Amino acid sequence: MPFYQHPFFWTLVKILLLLAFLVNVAGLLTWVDRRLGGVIQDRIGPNRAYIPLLGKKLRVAGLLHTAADGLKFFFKEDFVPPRADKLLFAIAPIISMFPVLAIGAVIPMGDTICPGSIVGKSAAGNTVWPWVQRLGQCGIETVGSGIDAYKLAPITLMVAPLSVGLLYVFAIAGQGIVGAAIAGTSSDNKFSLMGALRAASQMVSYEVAMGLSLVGAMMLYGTIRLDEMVRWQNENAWGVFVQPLACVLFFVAAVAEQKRIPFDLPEAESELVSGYFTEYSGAKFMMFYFAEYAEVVTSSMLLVTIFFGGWSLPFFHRDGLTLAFGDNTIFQSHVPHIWMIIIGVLTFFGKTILLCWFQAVVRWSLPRFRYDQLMKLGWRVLLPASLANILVTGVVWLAISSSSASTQMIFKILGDCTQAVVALAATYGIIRFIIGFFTPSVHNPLRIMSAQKRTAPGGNETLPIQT
Amino acid sequence: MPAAFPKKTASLNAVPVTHSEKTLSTQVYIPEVAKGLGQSMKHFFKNWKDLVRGERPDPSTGVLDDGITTISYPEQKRPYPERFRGQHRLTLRDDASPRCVACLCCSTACPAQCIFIEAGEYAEGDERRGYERYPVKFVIDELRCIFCGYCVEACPCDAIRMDTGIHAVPYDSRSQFIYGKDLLMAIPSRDGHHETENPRHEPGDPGHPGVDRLKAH
Repeated sequence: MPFYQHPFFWTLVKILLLLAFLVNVAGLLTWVDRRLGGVIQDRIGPNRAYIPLLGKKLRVAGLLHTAADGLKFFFKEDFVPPRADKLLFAIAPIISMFPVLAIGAVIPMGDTICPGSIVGKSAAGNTVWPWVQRLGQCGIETVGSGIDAYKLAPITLMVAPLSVGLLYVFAIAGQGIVGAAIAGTSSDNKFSLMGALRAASQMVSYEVAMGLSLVGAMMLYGTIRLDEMVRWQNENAWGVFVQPLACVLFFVAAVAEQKRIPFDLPEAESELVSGYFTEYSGAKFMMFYFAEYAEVVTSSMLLVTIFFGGWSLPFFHRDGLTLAFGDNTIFQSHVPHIWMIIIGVLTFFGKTILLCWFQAVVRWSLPRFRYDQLMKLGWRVLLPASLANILVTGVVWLAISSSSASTQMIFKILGDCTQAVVALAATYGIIRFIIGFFTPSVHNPLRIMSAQKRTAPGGNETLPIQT
Repeated sequence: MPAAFPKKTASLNAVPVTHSEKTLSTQVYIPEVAKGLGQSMKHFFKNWKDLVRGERPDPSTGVLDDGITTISYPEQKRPYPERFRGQHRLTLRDDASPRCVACLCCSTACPAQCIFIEAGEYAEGDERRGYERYPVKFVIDELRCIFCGYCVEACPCDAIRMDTGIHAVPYDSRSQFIYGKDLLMAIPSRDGHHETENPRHEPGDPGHPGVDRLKAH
């Protein structure tokens, strides 16, 4: 068996792909978060880090701030408080970093690859790029003969194709509390301890709502495997349309789990210095800082997978583009399998980046909750709402699945309509974006220079600031 | 019975704080959050476009305009107004001596008492002797100066001006802020010259009132 068809090789490739995306996007987010905050608040934002190049300053719009930050963290003093628990203090950042990266293992980055169907030979002997069937598994081909024969197994684009999928996510996400709690208690600092207590109670509270909000989605999709969930959404409708409440609940709970604004009470600067990592500096602080942004990326990946159709684009299926409403196929065109895989992976990463951007906008828009408001929101709003969501979903799902075939067809057409809505909205958004970009912006200089005002015929003498 | 806490009458200056009403949309919270996010995104897209296309409003004329009006300080500077009171300078005559006649008007007018002048008489035989004096020392302590401009107002000879447009300079020792006569004379105005536009009749010029009057006696 050549090495590039060995499952172990593919696992390595998948880990590299996932980590490369996760680490790079999280690293860039540390800059994007600040630059975007600046731009939202009518400031320029960090743009000054530069490399001297041929007597000029190479700034790249401030992207080098990420590198500068990294360098700064590595060269800073690694301070340990004298009475801290040295061992726990040292491993706390690692513990909080681990679950963030580990969650990515079950997230599907694209459709399952059928290695036997990527390149084919036509009857005339030419190379062709075949397409695969919309539904159904890959045929497992046997290559070679005799003792060298091996089977070409389908390659799922998840690092660990676990059958427990979502349960693994919950199990690992729950470990995030441990890192924060250990960091706070081992620092020998009251602010840290308060931050750790807040972090632990907040994450425990929102863990419940987070888990329960997804139960409705699990019931609908009929699976807890994340790639099967994406397939269901591709065939029917995106999760955000069938489970809109759960989408909002999960998003809120996910932001609370990341301990980001508006739920950043564990590290509330105005109250607790920086909460449970007050005593951390240098590379250890960087791990906390980086874990927060990596968490943004992983939670965006989860949201995309469960509610925004994962790697799927509207009307694009495994076999290509099929524009159909119910049984009425309007347009069909087959696309080679390799292209569908590439489009899928790019779509997944693109959607993830969009959601990361959205989370950054949320961070710069909302004020911080008070602690009692936080608890009230978690236990009195999100938890009952997610329970109600389960009940309603169950009743509606039972009603639909036991209804007649024609009623089910109506829902199927409705599902296809949501795909059309997504496609139209995305097209409109892109066109609007392009048109908006090329429309010159109108500026109204309110304050005219005194000389201009004097020379202007019939100039308005009242100061504009008084209007 | 006198009230322990007399009821305060509403004063004209105090405006009661208006609390926003509790409507359904504020109680549900999500519509208001969506509005806020929309506002953020509006600013983001507009400013991002301005940054990428280089169409930011002019930071000096568009201070009140929408968008990013930041001045990147060391490279860009806010234009000072024409009558900005900056670093002092001593204006010069045509022969490059100071116009100052050491009358001590400026040091008298100075509320911060930052000007020190030691007056000296011109040499015997000089036409100006007995008519005017000259500053042997003219020292301004720039740390004491409050840039009120009274010295400029007080000067009868237009000898001291604050039209250099130079902002207060940061030095690292106090002695560097003591500006002497030579330094003050070396600083040009914002237009780059050391004289002023006001004419001055030197003693000996035809039509100079004072010296003619002296000679007539």
